[in-house]
Amino acid sequence: MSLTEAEHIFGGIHEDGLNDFLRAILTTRPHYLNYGSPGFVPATTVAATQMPTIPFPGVPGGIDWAVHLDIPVIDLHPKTLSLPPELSLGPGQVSVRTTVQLCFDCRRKPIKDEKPKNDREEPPRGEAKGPCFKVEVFAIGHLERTYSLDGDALVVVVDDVELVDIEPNELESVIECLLLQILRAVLADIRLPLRALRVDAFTLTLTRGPEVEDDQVKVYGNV
Amino acid sequence: MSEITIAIDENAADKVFDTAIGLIPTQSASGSGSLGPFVASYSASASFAPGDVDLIAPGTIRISDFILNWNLSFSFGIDLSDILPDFCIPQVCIDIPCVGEVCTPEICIDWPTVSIPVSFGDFLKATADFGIAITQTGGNWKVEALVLGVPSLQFGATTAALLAAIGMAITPVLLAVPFIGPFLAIVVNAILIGIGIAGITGFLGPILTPFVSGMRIEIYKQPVNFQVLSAAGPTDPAVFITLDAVNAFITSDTEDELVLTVDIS
Amino acid sequence: MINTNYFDSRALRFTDSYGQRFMRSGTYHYHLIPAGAREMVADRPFTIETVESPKEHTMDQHTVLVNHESHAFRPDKPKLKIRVGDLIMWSCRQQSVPPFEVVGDQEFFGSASLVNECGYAHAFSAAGEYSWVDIFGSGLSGVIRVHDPKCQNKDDLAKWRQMLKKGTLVMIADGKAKPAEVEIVIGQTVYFAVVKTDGISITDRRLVNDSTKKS
Repeated sequence: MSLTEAEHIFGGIHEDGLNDFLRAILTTRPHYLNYGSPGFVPATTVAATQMPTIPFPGVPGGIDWAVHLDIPVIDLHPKTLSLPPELSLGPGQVSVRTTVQLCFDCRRKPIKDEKPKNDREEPPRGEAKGPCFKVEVFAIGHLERTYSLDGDALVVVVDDVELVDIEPNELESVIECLLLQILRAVLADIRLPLRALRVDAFTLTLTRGPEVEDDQVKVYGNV
Repeated sequence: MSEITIAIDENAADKVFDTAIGLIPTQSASGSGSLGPFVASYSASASFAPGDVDLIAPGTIRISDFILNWNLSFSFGIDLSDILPDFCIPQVCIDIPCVGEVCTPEICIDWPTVSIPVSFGDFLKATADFGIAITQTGGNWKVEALVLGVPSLQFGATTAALLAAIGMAITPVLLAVPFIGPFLAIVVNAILIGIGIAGITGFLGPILTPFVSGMRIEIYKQPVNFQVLSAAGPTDPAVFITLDAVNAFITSDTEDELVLTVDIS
Repeated sequence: MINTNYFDSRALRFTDSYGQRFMRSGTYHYHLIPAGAREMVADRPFTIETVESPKEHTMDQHTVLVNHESHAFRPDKPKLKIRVGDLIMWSCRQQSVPPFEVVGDQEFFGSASLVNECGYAHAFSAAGEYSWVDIFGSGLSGVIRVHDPKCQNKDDLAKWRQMLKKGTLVMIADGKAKPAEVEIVIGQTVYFAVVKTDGISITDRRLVNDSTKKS
């Protein structure tokens, strides 16, 4: 069977290559994996993205928090990497595996009877320390075509997330809900240009794909 | 399995090579060569127009009937004394009435060496087999199609046309030579016979063949340090990957395809 | 077609000859100089000694071959003794010779102005129609039509070579050139014989038009 089939040009990237791309992007722009309020992230840089604190009445400056993700690893159908039994990798699907670290600043801030002088008192920047916890995250998703500054691109869309061994189950569900949103948002920002995925070989006007099979993302088209 | 695989069928290959051949810049060459019994110095230029692509596994690309457009400017010297016999206008005696006979001394002519400049252009169709060459130089990966062997070029009617052009170029140069008029047709004929079709072919072949045998068609060229994403602000620098290995070959399964594979890190 | 077959009796080249008869006894001095340099050269280093001849003497021709070397012109006979009525024909047959003139110490004696009992010969080297005039304004003029014999083979060439032995005479007398129009082939010679004038030239009309345009 030919590679191009009924089209005239074929491009295929193996999951190993996809992970190489992801690693390159996230190593160069780690701010996609590191988010935190000013206590953890004094300013947005290449390394981290500053987010607002979680405002809460009586907590001066709000609650400082931080999220760090390890570089996700993608597995294309058929399954190569193990998944928890709650998840299965079906045809056309991708699985994502990463480790998420969540941190909150728990310095005791005195709650005084008198009126606080300034409800918006800024917490000390970059000095927050934790506590933190890490959890391994498994997700199932699919690929969608999108656009980027560098032309047609692919993006991973997460459909379901599973954590392992967190109890009670309700806590697991809450954290899964939180991480599903975080992971979806993070991966939505990481757009893989199609021209880069075929390392700019030839020109390709896409007529079919992206399709996920044989551990590859496959696209088809005309020159 | 390679990390990245790109394949094009013959239909796409035809378009790819059409574009690639069109991008080959005009080539030029100069030197001297034998034009029959004469030595001619020349400057030549050539450009290409695409042909039809046939992919032949495992690594041959046959391009049929592509066009070589060529222009040639050359000049060659002719020592007319090699062609013409020694010539003298004899003593001329004239009878002047009431005076007598008056005679002028003979005039002997040294035939000069003349230089004939010729400009000519034409095209020819050629078919050649190309192999695939993969190189990494100057920080770039390159996949090129290079001609295999030395193609045999067929000049057809070009040789007669060039011989005629030489004939036309000779005449105005010779007419500047005193007393050449009566010899002109004989001289031009002698020169053209001396060169002949064989001389034209022998002259053109070594000039034009290297243009074809030296053809390099660029199929793929990218830097080893390949840019994935362009910079998008102070917190989003450009992102690069390394192209570790590039390979190219032709497969023939249900159809012939040119396949490019790339490993990255 | 580039036609370089200009001709001018004032500027002799390798296809030209100047003939002069000497009708009185005496010693005549002359020089061979670049054409047009007459006013710059006073020297007359070469001599012709003319002695009286007996009544029955017929004209003899003496041919002087001019050699050009190291920027100087020199006759092969720098001192010549002739009889009254004889003719001297000066020619230089070197193809590379620059235009020159014969300048004598008397008004009648010189190639730049043909006065009497003299002549100018020119062998035509290319086909065309050549109109000539007297540049000194006497009104004398004529036409030489030179044809290309278009030789295709050895026989044609042989016939043409025979024709070259035949010259054509144009007599200039009483202010007229006879014949005014001449038909010849490439390589043939026309001899302009001057009987008596105030001093004329045989000059290619194209040279006159060119100099007129320049002025």
